[in-house]
Amino acid sequence: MNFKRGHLLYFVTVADEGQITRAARKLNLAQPALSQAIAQLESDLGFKLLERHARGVTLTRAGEAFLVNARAAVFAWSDAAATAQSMARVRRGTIEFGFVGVPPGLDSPELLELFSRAYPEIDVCYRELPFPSAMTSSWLGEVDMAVCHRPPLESDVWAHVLRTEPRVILAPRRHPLAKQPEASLADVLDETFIGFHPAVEPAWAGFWSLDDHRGAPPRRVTADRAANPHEVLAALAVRRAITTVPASVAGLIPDLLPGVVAIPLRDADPATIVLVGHEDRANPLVETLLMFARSLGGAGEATASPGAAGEPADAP
Amino acid sequence: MFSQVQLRYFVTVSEEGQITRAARRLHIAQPALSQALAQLEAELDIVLFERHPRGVTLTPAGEAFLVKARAALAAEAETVQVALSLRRAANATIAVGFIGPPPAISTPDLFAAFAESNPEARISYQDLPFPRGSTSAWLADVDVAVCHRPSVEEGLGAQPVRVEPRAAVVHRGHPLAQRPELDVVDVLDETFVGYHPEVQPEWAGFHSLDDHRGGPPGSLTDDAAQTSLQMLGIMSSPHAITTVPYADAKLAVQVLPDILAIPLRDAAPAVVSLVWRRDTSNPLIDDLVAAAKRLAPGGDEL
Repeated sequence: MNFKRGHLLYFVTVADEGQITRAARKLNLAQPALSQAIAQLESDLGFKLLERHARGVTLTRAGEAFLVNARAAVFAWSDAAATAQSMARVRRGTIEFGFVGVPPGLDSPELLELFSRAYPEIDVCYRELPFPSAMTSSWLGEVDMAVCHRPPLESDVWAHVLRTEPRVILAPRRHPLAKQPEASLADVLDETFIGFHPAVEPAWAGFWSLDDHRGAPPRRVTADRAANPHEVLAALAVRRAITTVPASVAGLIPDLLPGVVAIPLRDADPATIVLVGHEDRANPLVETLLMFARSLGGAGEATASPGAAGEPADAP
Repeated sequence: MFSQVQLRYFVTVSEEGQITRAARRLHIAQPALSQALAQLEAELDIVLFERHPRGVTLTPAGEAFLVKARAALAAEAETVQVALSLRRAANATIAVGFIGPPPAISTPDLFAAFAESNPEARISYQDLPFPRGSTSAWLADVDVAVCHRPSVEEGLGAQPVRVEPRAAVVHRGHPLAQRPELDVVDVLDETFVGYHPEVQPEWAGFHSLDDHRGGPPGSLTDDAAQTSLQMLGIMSSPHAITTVPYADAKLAVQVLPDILAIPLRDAAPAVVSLVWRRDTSNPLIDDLVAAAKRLAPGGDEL
């Protein structure tokens, strides 16, 4: 059996996007080239992966079964490549540090400032990440570590809690809630929330629409497919919908977007801001930064706890 | 990015700890292997091995990369196996693995019933070595296996096909060969055929009656049996005995006139089963299992 490894990534992307056109855009490919590559993969495999419809594609039964392994293979190869790149960075003395939305220099300044003073020989390079999707380790693939609200902690990911923060509502200025000085869960649970891209990790995305308090997704979400903070802000500017963010982020947004207001949410469970990284990459520079973060103190350790992803799992 | 061949070279060298030995195992020239490794290190911009006069050892970076390289190769191999299984399903083909006598001989009713209810289906039979490692990995190249049950771990299905007495298989020159039938106590202290150390211990142990003795035999031959053909070869020497399902023993006797099958009166019976990976999505597996259930309504799927 002979197929191109690169075609597996194409297939996984088409399956995730549900449409050749969208997948082609994501892969930076021309749509006919992608269609042809998928057809070639199907011919190499000897079975059909996709059913074509007028409005998109769905997976065949064989396609569903194959997707599981194709995804695992794509992940394993990119993980091997990313591990090698991480080791190459160790030689050069750099850490690739991911963040979601607000640059860490704005919301975790003390840690990184003190670290760069204590370890001038280690260069921290910042990389903006989209919202967590699929497995956390694969989302973190290209970076050595990241700071963000806690994603699901699988066994191959470690997390160190930096702090917890109240959640705050972001709403467009003309939204009925915008006049309130603060809000309670009861005021907002039935509102329309900004929609996330389906590939965004559901528990993580759901946290921002307060699914944890509602016990279910919001009754109404916008047609947006936000995959990063900019898309959320863009949607907020034009929709009659809300979302929630950690307080440190909320403090910065109204300065950037005068059309959006931040409303403290009185009784929501807090957001947990963590450092996360790869359990099995053994990167000594990352170890150094993590030890440093521990020495500064913080809320503590959050290790992976299977079956309780997203739940606080603080150890002494 | 690196290629599959580069990863395979790297993993083999780290296993052998020596370029020369690794080159021999990979069937390539030693300078070619050295060069390929140097090129991989240059491409990755990391040092994977420290070179010593007597071999190579992994650097910490090499150690970290080894774990991921193995995972990448395993994931790719698994993907190919799943693709092959799905291709068989698309072509209405089922790959049936077996140990010992071919299923068309040992289990004719089952395969006749299956052919009747699935006239379009094609069956490809494949002789399997004795199970080693995980049963899932052992089943990689087939959709289902029919044999005395190997260890059944999570994610596997097993359906009994038939339950039958065990028989001792002995050479005509063996002291026990005169006996028309035997009890377990007659044979427990005999010398049994040795299995390859990687063969599943419970599977190997069943054939040396460990289930009755509560432990391995006091005396084993130096053999390292891995396949049923090899087993037949070993049995042509008069020293050792083994036990197998009675039907298998009767067939072995037809192949090798120098051996005898002697019923073991009070041994726990052998359960010959269909075994398959539940994550294999070939609908013909369900059809074959359904046929087995119709024929052996007493035996429940495990």
